[in-house]
This record gives sequence, C-alpha cells and structure tokens, in this order.
Amino acid sequence: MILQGVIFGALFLASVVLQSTLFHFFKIGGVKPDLILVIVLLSAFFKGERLGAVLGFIYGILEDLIVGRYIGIQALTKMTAGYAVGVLGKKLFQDNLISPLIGVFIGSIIHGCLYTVVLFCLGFYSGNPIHNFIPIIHITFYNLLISLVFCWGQFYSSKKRLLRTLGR
Amino acid sequence: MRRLSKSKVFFLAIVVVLALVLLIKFTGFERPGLNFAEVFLREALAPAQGAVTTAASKVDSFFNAAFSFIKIRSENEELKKTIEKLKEENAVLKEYREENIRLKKLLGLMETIDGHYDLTAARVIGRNPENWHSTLTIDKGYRHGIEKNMPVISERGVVGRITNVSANTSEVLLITDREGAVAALVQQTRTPGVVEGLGPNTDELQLIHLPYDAPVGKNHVVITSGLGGIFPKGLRIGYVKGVYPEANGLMKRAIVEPFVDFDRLEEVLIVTGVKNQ
Repeated sequence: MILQGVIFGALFLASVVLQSTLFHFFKIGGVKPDLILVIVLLSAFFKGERLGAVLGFIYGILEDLIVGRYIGIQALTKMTAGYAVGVLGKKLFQDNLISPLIGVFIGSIIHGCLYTVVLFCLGFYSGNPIHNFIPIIHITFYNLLISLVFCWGQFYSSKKRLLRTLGR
Repeated sequence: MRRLSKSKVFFLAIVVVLALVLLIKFTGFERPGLNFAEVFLREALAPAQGAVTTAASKVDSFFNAAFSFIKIRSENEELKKTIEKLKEENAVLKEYREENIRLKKLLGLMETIDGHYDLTAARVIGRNPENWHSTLTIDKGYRHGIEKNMPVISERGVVGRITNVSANTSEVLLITDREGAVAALVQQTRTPGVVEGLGPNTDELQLIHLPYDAPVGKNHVVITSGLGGIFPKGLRIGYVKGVYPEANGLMKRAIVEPFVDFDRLEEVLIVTGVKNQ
C-alpha cells in the first residue's frame, strides 16, 4: 500500500514535470498529451473504479493547485473519468492491447467534455463550447499514442512472463 | 481497512462533487494570492522543472542547430544553382545585347544603302575547317534568293562573295582569300587596282597593279571600283597601311588593312540586287 503510494507519487511528479517542461517541445496540432490523465485512466482500467476515482481526485487536485486557477476542475473531471474507465475496465477483456486503449479513448473524451461543460455551466466560457471539441479530439489521440507506448511495453513484458512460466 | 457502504460512498461522492464545483466557482476569477498548498507545490516542483527545462532547451537547441545546418546547406545548394542559372541567363542576355548592337549597325547600313541595293541579312553559321581557304558558311541559300557571285558585305565593308549555294546555306569566299580578288580603287586619288588576300595566315590585303607614280599613301581608303561585274562600286574595303615598290621597279603595291574583322563576323548582308548604280 505504501509502496503503491510512493510509486503513484513518483509517477505524478515525473508526469507533472514532464508535462510542464519537455512536452512543450512535442506539441502536435498545438496540444500536448495529458500524461497525468493517461496514468489515471490506465490505472483505473486495470485496478478498478475505486482506485481510478481516488487517484483521479488526488492527481487532479494537485494539478489544480499547481495550475492555480479553477481549482477543482481537474479533480472533478479526472475523478469522473477515472471512475468511468474503472467501471469499463471490469466489462472488457483486459489482457490484450486494444482494451486499455479503448478505455483511454473514452476516458479522454469524458474528461475533455466534462471540463468544457462544467466551466461553461459555471459561466467561465462565454463563447461556443463546441470550439473546444477539436482540441479534445487532438488531445485524445495524443493520449492514445502515449498509452500505446505504455501498453505495448506492458503487454509484451507480461506475455514474456507468461511464456516463461509456461516454459517452466 | 473498513469498507464504506454504497450509500455512504454515493453521499460522499455528491459532497465531493459539490465541494469541487464550489471551489471551481470561487477560484475561477483573479484571486489576491496563492494559498499555502499552491505555494508549496510550486516551490517543490520548481527545481525539477528548471532542470528539465534547461536540459530540454539544450537538446532542442542542439537539434535546432542540426536542422538549421541541414537547412542552410540545402539553401546554399539552391542558391548556388540559382547563381549558376542567373550567370547563364546573364551570359545569354549579354549575347543578345551584343547582337542587338551589331544588328542595329547592320540596320543602319541597310537604311543607308537601301536605296541603292537589295539586301538580305544572314547569320554566319560556320567557317572553313581547314587553313588554306578563307570561307564562311551563312544560313541563307537559294530558297532565300541567294545566288552565286552575289557580294557579301557587313556594316564595316566588303566581306566577300557567294561561291556555292545550297537550299538553306551559302558559302562566302572572303576577300582575304587569294582567290577572292576584288577590283578596287583608292577613294581619294581614284587610282585603280586589284585587292587580293596575302595568304592563309593573315587577314591583310594587298592592292596590286599600281603604277610606280600612283598617288597612293598611308590611310587612304580603298573602295570597290565596280569593275569585274561582281561588286558594285563604292563599297569600303580597307585603308592603306603602307606602300612598297615591286621588284620589277615599274609597279608598286599597297598593304591594305580591311575594315572588316573577319574573325568576329556574325551577321552579314548579301547584295541580292542593285537598284541604282
């Protein structure tokens, strides 16, 4: 439990530093991937909705505090997305490459849409909220790309482990 | 760890969501300052962010420099090609300019003597490949009305006469050839003679058959006399460079420098007819 906390803490630090520095150089279509969200979604997909929601809330609130504006928006949206993907993870066959990517795709869409809708409803967006949906699609596909790298490594290392076990 | 019941989780979720919405609402606008948690997180992250940004900037600069180098190199290649192309174009344009000057002179000559002769302009397209005869090939032949023995002139003076004609080309025997003799006279003193070439290795001419006491001196202009039936009278040939007695003591000859630079002839005029002799 403590080890898991340390790992998630380290992951958060690494991803928030990368996202605020290095990813600036890898923008595609004006957007960078949401690495924090990807970690929340993949964790939720494999570990369940409870961890997804809690991790989403903690990562989100920390991110909000770092950003310093609309505090709670990332917590709310990441928590919701984490919860949803956690529920989805129980319904999909987990041991293949495509399922977690579906989770990340749906989670990213939920996160982006909820973010826009909440801020629009609270009166922070005065324009047409539809304009936000193109960046959401861009971010979603960039998140998918990052997730593919994670899942590819995870998928093949687990496959190797399985083959080794069977070989024994 | 004690598990919460579903209803309590639901209630907790509602409370959290409401609290978050309120928090968003109150932190969405400009605030007087950061709270403790925000300050702490920012300060904690700053060193790591600084280090990564510095490293990333250096890597970015390195790759930018590398890409710039490649870009500059390809740009340099492009510019070199452009310079070569422009040089070629410039050479062509210079050629056109020179040609224009020559053609203007020819045109001037045509306008000057157009009342006397029918003229056809032609371009020099070849020269005799061997050393013993002085001939040119021009790009007009019998299709253009050119006939054998027609005189050929340039804006400077007499060039020669047509010796062979094909459909689209003609051969011009220059007056510098030994066989290209022209009946001439000294313009100032009206002394008649014959101008012929000195040999294959020189463009100088000699005016022969001059009586010993003929009044011929340096810088006198030699023109065609009209005798012989080929060259019309009055075409400029050259000027006298020197006068020398013949070995027999009865006659003398004059060395004549032709007005035409035969090595640089590019356009000529063929006298196809005489209107008013």
